[in-house]
Amino acid sequence: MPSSLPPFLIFFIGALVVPLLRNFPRIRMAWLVLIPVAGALNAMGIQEGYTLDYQLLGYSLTLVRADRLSILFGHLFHLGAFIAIVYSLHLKKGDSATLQHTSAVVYAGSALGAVFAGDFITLFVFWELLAISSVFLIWTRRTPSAVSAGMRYLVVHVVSGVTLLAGAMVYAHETGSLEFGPMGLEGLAGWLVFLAFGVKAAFPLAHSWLIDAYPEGTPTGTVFLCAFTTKVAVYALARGFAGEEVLIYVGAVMACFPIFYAVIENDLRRTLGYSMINQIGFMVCGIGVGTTLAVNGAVSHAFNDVLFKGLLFMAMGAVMYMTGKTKASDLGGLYKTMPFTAGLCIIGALSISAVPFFNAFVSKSMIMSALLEEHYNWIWPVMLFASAGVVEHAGIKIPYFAFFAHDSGIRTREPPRNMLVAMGIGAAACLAIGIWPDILYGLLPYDVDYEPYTFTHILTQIQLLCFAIGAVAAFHLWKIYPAEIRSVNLDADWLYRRAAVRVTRLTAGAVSAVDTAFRGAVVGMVNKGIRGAFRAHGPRGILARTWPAGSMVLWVSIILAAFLLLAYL
Amino acid sequence: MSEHKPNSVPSPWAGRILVGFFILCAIVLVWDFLVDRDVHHPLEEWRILYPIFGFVGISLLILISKVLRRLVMRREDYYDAE
Repeated sequence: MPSSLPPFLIFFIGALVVPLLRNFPRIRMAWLVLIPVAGALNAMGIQEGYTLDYQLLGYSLTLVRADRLSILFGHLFHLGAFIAIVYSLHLKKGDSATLQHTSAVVYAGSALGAVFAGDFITLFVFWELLAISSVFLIWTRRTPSAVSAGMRYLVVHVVSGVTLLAGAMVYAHETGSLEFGPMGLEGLAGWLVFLAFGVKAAFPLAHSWLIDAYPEGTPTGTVFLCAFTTKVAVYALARGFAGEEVLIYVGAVMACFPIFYAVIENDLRRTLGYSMINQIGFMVCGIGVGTTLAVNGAVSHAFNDVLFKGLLFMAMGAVMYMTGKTKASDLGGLYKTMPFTAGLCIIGALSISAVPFFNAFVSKSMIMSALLEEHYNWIWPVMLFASAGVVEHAGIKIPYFAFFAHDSGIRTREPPRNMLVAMGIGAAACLAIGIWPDILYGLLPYDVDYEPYTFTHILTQIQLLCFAIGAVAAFHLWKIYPAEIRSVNLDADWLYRRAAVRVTRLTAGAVSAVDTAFRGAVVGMVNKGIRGAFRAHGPRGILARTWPAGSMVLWVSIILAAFLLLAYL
Repeated sequence: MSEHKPNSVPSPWAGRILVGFFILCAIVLVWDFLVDRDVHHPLEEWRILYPIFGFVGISLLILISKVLRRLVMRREDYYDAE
């Protein structure tokens, strides 16, 4: 008899009850909060080494595999779900509350199912459930752009799942096992699974779904979205592909290219989407280095990212909920009416910027140190540049344009209390981990022999941050900082939103023209045949004429004479 | 595409904060010459590497982004048009 239930099961049972409480809002609130709390208590009973196996079609599958890596992500997802649920407690019928809450709880449960899955089939099931449950958090915004973005999001993630299944089938054929463990990039199976993980992790060129869909989610839905999908992918990469060198370069590209877009993006939630890819880049890079320090750094940064990115998305969600706006060109001066939200957003900004005593400082530095230890001397400056870039877009741009900058004239008030409480919990967690990093280090998959608070590290980080901020301030004062402009920036999604549409139209036009010409030619030939037959057999046709008997006798005689002649030749 | 120029100095406090901030920058810059830092990378042997990296890196980031904007920026309804 197992001491604990599978972690996802508590969320799935909880989700089943949520629609039944639609007419009892207070009881529903209590029930929603109870789900992650009960889940966390249950997860605490799961010991390292615990597995729960089952048989399916002759294969032995593992519903739960508990080791330090999966348990870390288990704790993270319970914490993330708790904060996001508290943040969304105010939802009412007009916000599609039942649908949002139910899909969010199933989504959180699916993320837990994925990180505890011990085999590819179980992983695939939860991988697809993640996509299907989360898309409702986009669709429930009910705008035309949200509906289309949600559809594109769903297609991309279902394709990722199908690719994962294909990889799993090839893997099972090659090895006779479906166990999900370290696999590397050898053979077709490895590459297919890697590609599937890469799509969910928003690898370059496969990243557009995140930029496209997350800003279209509901104010509360995006908080859930930012906590789970990409973190499951980071977990999967850490499990399956730690030490694959290609990940270092992929991570470096991910860390760098979004920061250029983030500077010129007007939608602040889309800016956070680019920031998210930038942060995942650090994690992917750390997984690529593959040493114990690097993997610890990568997964601890994933843990921290849920907190600080969640906090920033919550702050922008609160702004969106209260003002209906998320574009920098429409916002500004909100600190006057939303001072607590502004303060909490600044804590998120300081955390993501890796300011000492905030949480990213104690995780990102592990990845940077691992790069130096393994002598990736060309990648280290690239990541240092990306690190400075974070300060510009997430550290300054987000709080500055939303809450300060020019006075937009918007006069609102603080968001509902539950939103402030959720942001407060997120901010407290960012600070607690920053001040007492051992809280997090004690949960990491490998024993930690790392001290983030050395004099050199604190000094150099403050120098980097101060002069990065100084550059932004100088560019503002010199009035050459890019102005916020109502616009859209072309990204890789242009390939399937515009180029593919145009290519399809051109191809369809060409095929249609060839088809029309071919059909015309065939019809012309048939018509020509009909006309010829008509000429011969029509009322005036030569073959339709009535010939006199004498003519017929004459022709028969001629034919017989010809036969006679031929017989004697 | 309507352009909005943000006001970078929203209140008298902003000026004071900026002055205080630039003083802090000067302090951490000078500090680099007064202490011996741990060095793990050849570039770290340069004094004031990190201030240079921060300032030049962000300056390049902003300038390149302005060029990028010329290439990728479209009307807000670009995707709605089709």
